[in-house]
Amino acid sequence: MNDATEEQALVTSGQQEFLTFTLGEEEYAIDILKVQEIRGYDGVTRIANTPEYIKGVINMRGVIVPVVDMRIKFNVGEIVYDQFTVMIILNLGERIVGMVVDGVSDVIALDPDQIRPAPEFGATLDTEYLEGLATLDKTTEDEDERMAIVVDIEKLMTSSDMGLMDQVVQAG
Amino acid sequence: MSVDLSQFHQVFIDEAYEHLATMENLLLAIDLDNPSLDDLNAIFRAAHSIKGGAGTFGFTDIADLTHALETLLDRLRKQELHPTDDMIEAFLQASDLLGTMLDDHQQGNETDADRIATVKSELVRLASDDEQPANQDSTPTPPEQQPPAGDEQPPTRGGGAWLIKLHPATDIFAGAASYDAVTEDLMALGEVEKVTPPHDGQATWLLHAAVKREQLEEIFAWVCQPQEVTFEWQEGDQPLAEDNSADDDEEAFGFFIDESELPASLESLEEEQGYGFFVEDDELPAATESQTNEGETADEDPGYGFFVDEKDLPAKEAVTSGSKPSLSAQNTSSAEQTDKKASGKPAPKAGSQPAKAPASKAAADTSIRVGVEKVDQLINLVGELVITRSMLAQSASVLDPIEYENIHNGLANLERNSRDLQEAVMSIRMLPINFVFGRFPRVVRDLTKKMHKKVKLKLVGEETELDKGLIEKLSDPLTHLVRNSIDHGIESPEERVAAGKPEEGTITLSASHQGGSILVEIHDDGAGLNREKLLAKAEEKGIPLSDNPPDKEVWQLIFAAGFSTAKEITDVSGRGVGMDVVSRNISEMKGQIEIDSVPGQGTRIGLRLPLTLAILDGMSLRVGDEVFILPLTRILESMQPDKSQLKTVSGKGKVVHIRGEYLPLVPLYKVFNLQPRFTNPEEGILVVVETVEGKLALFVDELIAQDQVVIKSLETHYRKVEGVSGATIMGDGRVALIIDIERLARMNVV
Repeated sequence: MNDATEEQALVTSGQQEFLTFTLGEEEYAIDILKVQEIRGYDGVTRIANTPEYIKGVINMRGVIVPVVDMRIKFNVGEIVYDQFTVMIILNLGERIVGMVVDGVSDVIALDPDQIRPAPEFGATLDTEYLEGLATLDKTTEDEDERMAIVVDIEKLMTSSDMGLMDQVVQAG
Repeated sequence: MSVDLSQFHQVFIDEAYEHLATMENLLLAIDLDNPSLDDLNAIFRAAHSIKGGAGTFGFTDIADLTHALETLLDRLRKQELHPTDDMIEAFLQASDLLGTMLDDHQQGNETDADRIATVKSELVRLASDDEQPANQDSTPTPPEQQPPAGDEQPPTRGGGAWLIKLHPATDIFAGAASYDAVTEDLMALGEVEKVTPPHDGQATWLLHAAVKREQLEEIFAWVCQPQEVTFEWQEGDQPLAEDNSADDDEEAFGFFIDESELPASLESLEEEQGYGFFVEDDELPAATESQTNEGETADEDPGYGFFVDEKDLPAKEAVTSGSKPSLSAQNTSSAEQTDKKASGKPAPKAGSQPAKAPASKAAADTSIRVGVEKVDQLINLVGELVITRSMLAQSASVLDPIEYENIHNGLANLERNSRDLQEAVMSIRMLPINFVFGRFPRVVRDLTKKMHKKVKLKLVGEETELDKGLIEKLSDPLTHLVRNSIDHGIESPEERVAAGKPEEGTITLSASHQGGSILVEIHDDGAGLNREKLLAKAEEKGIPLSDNPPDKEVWQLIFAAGFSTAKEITDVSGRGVGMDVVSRNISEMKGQIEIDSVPGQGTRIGLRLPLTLAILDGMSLRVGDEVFILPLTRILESMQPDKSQLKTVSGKGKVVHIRGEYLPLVPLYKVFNLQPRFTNPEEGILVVVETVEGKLALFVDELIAQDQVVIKSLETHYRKVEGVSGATIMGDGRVALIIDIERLARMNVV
């Protein structure tokens, strides 16, 4: 089988690439097309009277972008800000949002049938924002089988839960 | 319409709005007693351009209406009708309606069909308002139903030649017709020069013989379709090279070109590309016009094209000229005139027109339409560049100036260049204020008519430039102010005469640059503000005032909400809302309002605005670790208070006593929930600011510097933040929030 047909197989099988990151003990996966870049945590300007997890705003090459610390929002991991703290810059349609996580681990490709529906409980995030659970291939023989929680990051970030945008009228 | 065209709809709509604006301006400028033909032509051209575009993009309703408009305009500019006030009114109505229709098309709404019908029928009625039946109105044919005057003239003088160009769609010589046979037929008429040999059926001959056009047509009728061949009569020894310009247009306009193809007409034709049949007849000499007709006739029944001969055409001429006697005469004579002169020269009538056309073409070529986002992005990038430069400069400042002279020189150059670049980019957003002023002639005309007043509007400094964003926001408040001036300021003609003033009042709208701001003034020579009336009204409304308030304070009363001294509410003004809106809009724009008024002599209202909304003159200050920006225009003073000035009001926090006034003390660290360096006002700095609600003393840690900052929105990617109007990026790349003083005053944090 040559490369072209292999690639075609990938396209027709509907495989999608995901970026995985860790929050506490859990591993999460988000659509890589929503990720603009990954950068260090620096130069955040605080905004008064906002929830603790909204760290403030940063200057992303002239664009002012809010930063959310997911560790605080979901109460996991150790809240320290040093040169190892990473921020995933998400591009959600018209919005850009920075998200602080414990660590960025991998880029993985998943088949749609690899993503199983999430049970009603068990994750830090509300099931509403979950697309499902995925089993990751072992990288080494002695490693345990890993599981990633696939998150609909756009839905999560634009939700009123996050309080990142002005809610016009709550539908429903 | 097809998807391909829809991407140009916006361009068409934008252009149509521009044409409408031009039309309206010209309409208002028309002197009814002595209308300028140039203006009428310009209006006609605007209408025509809209019609052409609308037709191309399938906006048939717009095309229909503009057609009716055009018909009437056409008669006006040909001086068949004399413009009347009714007509101007109808034109204005039509242009309003067109604006609505454009809006509707843009939003995908249906325009009220009744309204279209009413306006259209009015136009049609006016157009047919004399012996002339308005038969063209209902048909989609262009109004250029000119008598084909004078195109039948056989070139009787010697020394000329027919240039025959054959450009069929298919290679006709490959079939039945033979090139040699055609050439032979031509040779029977006179001396033939084969200019270009046949290629793909195309060929050119030069026939040195004074034969009639019909004879030529007869020959070619057997060979090809009438539109596939052109005949040009060339006078004398005109070199062929000069006709190169015509070649470009051959394909599309072949059958419009005839022996009287003049340089002038050619230009017009080039202008008209894409409009095919709708050739504006006054841009063309009469002879070309008649050729249009001939072409149409031939086009309608191509099979019989070769029967169009001298018997046929004069008959047609008689028919059309019968319906338009005056015109026919005019055109015939002008055509004859053209004829008698060497036909290589344009007719005098046509002479003035083409001179204008290339000019407008040139203007169109030198500007481009660019989306505002693109410009904003450019501004952003330049802003980044400036920040990067200042970061570099900061790093370089520690380097030895002698050893690293080159770096320092380079940075100095970079600074100069980036500043120039920033200015240049900013200027892209600048538009002349005429974009707002331009609508007022109409507003004034409508209002004065309604209120039976006589007002002359003077515009000064229309070319003054300011930011596009400001221009849009300025339009509402200015409209209110102008309406107000007409309604309350300018007296009725009788009153004016009685007061010894000219019957006609004058309102002057002026704009000028003053330092870093722009001053827009509305000046009327009306009755002026009435101090007693205002004071009485203030008392009635319970607005607190000092015992003997200065004029300035009294005048400001007119901006209070619900404040109107008008005895009765008209549909123009008197509800006391307008001025309130003005003051709100202006303060939103970070501007100030000045009023001067002299009883009996008039009122001047000045609006002082920043040049742009994108840049703010601010004072940067520090609270704890954070830097904030305060709009400089709002800062009255800053001071370090001493203990005796600070008073505590129980339950209401602190006040500070400054020169007889007690101002509420607002600690910024409390508002923004920060860890400050100082919590004792005596150690920090108090900044006294002015708000609509009164003065405030902001308590901050320290003042840093006065800066010009680029305003960025927080809402693009985040949401509105209480007490903050926006953000900016400081020299070190960090974000600083800009304080919204008005919100702060209302937040009431003490």
